[in-house]
Amino acid sequence: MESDPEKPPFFDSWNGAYLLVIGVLAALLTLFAIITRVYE
Amino acid sequence: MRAIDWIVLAGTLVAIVAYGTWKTRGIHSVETYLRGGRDIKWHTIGLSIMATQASAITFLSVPGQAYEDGMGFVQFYFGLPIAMVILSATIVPIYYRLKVYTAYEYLERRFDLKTRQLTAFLFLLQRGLAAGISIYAPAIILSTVLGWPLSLTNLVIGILVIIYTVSGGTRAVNQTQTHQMLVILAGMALAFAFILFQLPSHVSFKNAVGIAGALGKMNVVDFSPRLDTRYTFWSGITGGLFVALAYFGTDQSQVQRYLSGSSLTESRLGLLFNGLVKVPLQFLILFLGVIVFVFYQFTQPPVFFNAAEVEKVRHTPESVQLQALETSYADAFAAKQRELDRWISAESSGDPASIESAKRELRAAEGKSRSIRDQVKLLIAKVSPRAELKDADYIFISFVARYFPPGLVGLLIAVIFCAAMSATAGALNALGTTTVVDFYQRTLKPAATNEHYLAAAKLFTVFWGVVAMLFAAFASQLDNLIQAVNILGSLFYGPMLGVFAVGFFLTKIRGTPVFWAVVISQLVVLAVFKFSSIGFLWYNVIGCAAVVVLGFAFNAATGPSARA
Repeated sequence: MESDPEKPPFFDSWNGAYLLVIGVLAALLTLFAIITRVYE
Repeated sequence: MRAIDWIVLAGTLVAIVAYGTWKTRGIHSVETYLRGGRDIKWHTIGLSIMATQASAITFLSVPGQAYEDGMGFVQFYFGLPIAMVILSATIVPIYYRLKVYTAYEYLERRFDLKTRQLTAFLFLLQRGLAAGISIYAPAIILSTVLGWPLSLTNLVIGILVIIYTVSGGTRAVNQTQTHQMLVILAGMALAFAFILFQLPSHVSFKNAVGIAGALGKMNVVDFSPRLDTRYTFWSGITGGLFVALAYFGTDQSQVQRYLSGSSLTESRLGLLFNGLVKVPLQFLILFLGVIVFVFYQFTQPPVFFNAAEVEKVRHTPESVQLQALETSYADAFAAKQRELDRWISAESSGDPASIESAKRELRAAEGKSRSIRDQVKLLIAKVSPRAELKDADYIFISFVARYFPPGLVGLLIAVIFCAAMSATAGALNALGTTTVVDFYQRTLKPAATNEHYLAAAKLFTVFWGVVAMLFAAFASQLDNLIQAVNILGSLFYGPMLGVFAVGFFLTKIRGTPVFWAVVISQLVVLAVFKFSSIGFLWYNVIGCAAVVVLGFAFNAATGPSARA
């Protein structure tokens, strides 16, 4: 992984920003799985 | 369309094109023309990336796809956020460090000239065809539904795009795409609100989602491991990841968007913004189609949404059979109404046995309607053997034309034009840049002036614009074209991603072995497409894996592993 002299806003490192994106995806997948289960 | 619709449509398009052209006038540097001056912020990059990906087909086909098959298509995008993270962490910093204009320049530094130009050629081939289709596909649908002349619609989209793309280059494309994306988002939000208000007063939002669920439209995630099912969780999270890595990491139409950022941070943030909003946005566009489906449970839908094809049957002896089928369709619709009322009563009673029984009957009634629709399709095929029997692309636009109020119709048509123009502009900009940087400047004219390359970049952009319009004009001769656009990218992205993956991660493999690995892998993917029933998302995985495996094998077979 290449280093970036600038940090992303709101996070201490890029790993925090990446974790946010993956976390939101995981939350959406859970929501979609629940929707599928409830309405099947 | 009424006068107010024409005013909204023309006003929106002219304002966006005129502002973008004026704002980016007087560019004299080829660096600014091709890279946009590298002063663009993350929000512009993010919207520009989304606008490049969102073609008119997204807004014409996707709601129709949800109407027919439910929400499952959203799974195609599950790999995209992961791809945004991987690209932000790996490829984007390398592009920045090497200060490249195109993604393919990297390949010459890592391998050799022939590998760079082969990959650039594959890009020109698939993106050049896709640019033509991105003009033609909305033009054919708009001309069929609204009665516009097809060639004129092609010309309007093509010429408007060429004007600002040639005039202001990358900066103009980014500028206009931001405004186009804002129009698209506003138009879709208004459409969503309007459709919800069109549902009958006794049907709540909860009822609407319940009806969609009872009729199998809320099947968002499918965990079955079947390779021949096009959209599953697994194909989305693996095949979709490979598509997104290839598209955003190696397709110059996207690479050019984020390389115009003022810093590496801005480019990364633009990509991550796309990773955050793309899945929910696609979900909402699909849900729009599901709500249209629910609307048509209370208002009788056309028996076939492409009215022009039905009209052809009316003028033949088969019209008697068509009339009989239309009568049966109306009867089936009335019967379904009764089952719907029963289901709504059962839902409010809360009795599980009544709900289950009502759901079963409702599904049977829907099955009857579907079967009559299938018979009408057979009749259409009998009268017009070349007719496209998949009418999903016509569902949303015919709904807009029939039920939306004056003004909103113009705005929704503007949304479709904006989407067509933004995708085409991104493509032409990248095609012109790749032709100049990877072929003209590199091989044909290596030592010319800044002004010469600027003029060449503009000329090549015009050239690709004309090629796209010619292809759009010729495209009406081909069958199933709209379906082809979805598959086209996946035919080429696997080998393209493979060569970049080898370049980044397998540093001992040399140029000549990887070159032949790409050639053979491309043939393998084309053979899989031609001779197998594997879902197209898997082509990306197969193509990429083939380049890696063959690259290893050829490298081992041809001598010591010195870096080329």
